[in-house]
Amino acid sequence: MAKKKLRGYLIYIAVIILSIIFLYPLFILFMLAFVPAQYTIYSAYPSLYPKGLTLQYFEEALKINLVGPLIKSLEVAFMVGAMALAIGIPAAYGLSKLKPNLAAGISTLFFLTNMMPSITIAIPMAVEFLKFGLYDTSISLALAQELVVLPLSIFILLGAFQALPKDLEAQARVDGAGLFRTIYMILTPLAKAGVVATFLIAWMMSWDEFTFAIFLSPIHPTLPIIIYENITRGNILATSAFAIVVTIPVIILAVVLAKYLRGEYLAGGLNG
Amino acid sequence: MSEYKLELVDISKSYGKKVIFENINLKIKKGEFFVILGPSGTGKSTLLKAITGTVPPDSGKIILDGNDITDTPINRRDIAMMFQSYALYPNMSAYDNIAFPLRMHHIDKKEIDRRVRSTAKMLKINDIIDFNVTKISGGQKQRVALARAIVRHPAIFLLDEPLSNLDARIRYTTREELKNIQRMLKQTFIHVTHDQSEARVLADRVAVLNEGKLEQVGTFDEIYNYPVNTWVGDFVGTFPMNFLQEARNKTRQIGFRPEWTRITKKGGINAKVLSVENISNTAFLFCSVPGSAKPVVITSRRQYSVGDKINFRISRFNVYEKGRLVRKTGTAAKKARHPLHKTR
Repeated sequence: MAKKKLRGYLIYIAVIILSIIFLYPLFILFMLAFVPAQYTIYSAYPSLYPKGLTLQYFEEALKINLVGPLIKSLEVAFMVGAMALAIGIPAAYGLSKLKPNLAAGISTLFFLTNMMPSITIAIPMAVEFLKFGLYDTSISLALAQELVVLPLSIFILLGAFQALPKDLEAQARVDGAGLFRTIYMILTPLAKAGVVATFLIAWMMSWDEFTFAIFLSPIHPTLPIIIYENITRGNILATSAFAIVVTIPVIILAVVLAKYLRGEYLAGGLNG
Repeated sequence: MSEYKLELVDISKSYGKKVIFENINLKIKKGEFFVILGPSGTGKSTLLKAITGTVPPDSGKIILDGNDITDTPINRRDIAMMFQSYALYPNMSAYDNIAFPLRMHHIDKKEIDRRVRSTAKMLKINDIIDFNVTKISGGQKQRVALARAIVRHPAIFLLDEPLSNLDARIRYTTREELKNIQRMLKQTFIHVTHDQSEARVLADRVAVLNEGKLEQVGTFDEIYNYPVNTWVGDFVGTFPMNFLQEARNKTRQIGFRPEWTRITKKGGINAKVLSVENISNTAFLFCSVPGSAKPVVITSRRQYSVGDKINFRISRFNVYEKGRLVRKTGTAAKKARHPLHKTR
């Protein structure tokens, strides 16, 4: 009994240590945003706990033009998420029909574009979009970001589709569903955990994507560009507060979708 | 229109070098309860999947109601299938599961509702119809799966081991019900199983499949009494058929069922009881017989104990030449005893 209890405590300790590692940068961000500068960046030995609080930087942050970039960022992120599913689901379904080894090989090949620095792809792309008259639009940025997002999306979705029981698809086909209805009415709802994870990751990758954004959409920028611009102007403190504002939509989305990210219902319905 | 519901013409399937089944020819009559019987892993399920089209055969033709459906898309074939796993859609309620095939065939909403509810009522699952299928018992899942097949009024029903996931008690009652439903619907059922008691109770005709080959097709009685070869004789029956070498001809064997013997006071064959198994009022005696490596099973009304020496006579038997049936004797074939009687 005592051993079991000890193991329980150890797990909690491990969880706390891991959480600290992940949350520490965020904590520093909060310190910068809400603690007067003389205790943080202006002090020789910054303290690890808030010695005072101020809303001054937050007020400054709200003076930064937020609305335009926020709309742009949301627009692009939702486009990227939607495209990741619209292209990723059929691709992953097709790959799931192949032998697992072959499918894994092909989905690894998709990562080739990710192996090259984004900047080498961004410049020729900017030139092409200029020609098409798509420069500085949301759709062009979303398409560019999709390059990086899609391989990962297919990878996650492939795993989700491969885990589905083969009988269910056969049953849907025998019951009279065509290929598309089988995918969208049976397989996709069953792979819900994978689909939601894919959407969330695609959305977040777009939300803080920088390289493509600065090359393809500098005139009407996204939020990360605004943060970058403000930091280069030396406005670190207000920008920290601003960054927190930018994080809020991600947290909301993650919390809303978290309940779909469990996989346990997948096993139901099969086997007596 | 053809007189057969379903015809399989020379269909074969293999994965690489592994042959699943080969040159299967089957003709299934209208309104027949047809059972495909065979040991596990002999291609029975794959054969059903070939008929649905989910695992297309490499060669051969599938003819349903006189139409060649070999190349018809899966969803356009008028076939209902029930998988061993039931394959219920776990994201839907029982109602939506049963309604799914009807929705796929664009049937009017009111008609769908009427048919789903009447089918559910027939199978006594109307009280769980709104539950999610992950929340119901194994027996109820089996009924939902059956309802989903029945509700469509398909040309033919394919059932892949539909009873094997049920508890023994429910299995017997469900087996009866399945037969009644088939009688009521007057539809053609193909039922795949490894359980010969299902074949005995359900089947109008049985096909015995072994390692991808059809060994024998006929009524259960025909197969039980006149297995075409020693393998079928061994596989079918609560106890395998007994085979004894014929004294004069080394390539010949006689085959007889346990109940085709009679214990006598003297004469006949000498045997020693090795073990006894009682099934209702009959004792099945496993006996060692000189010249036979395998024990011979015979029936007896009287009890014997292990080690007893007995004599028995064979009242009826089949003759096998190199493992194949060449002559039937016994009640049905008594008149044709003398001339060598060819069966196939």
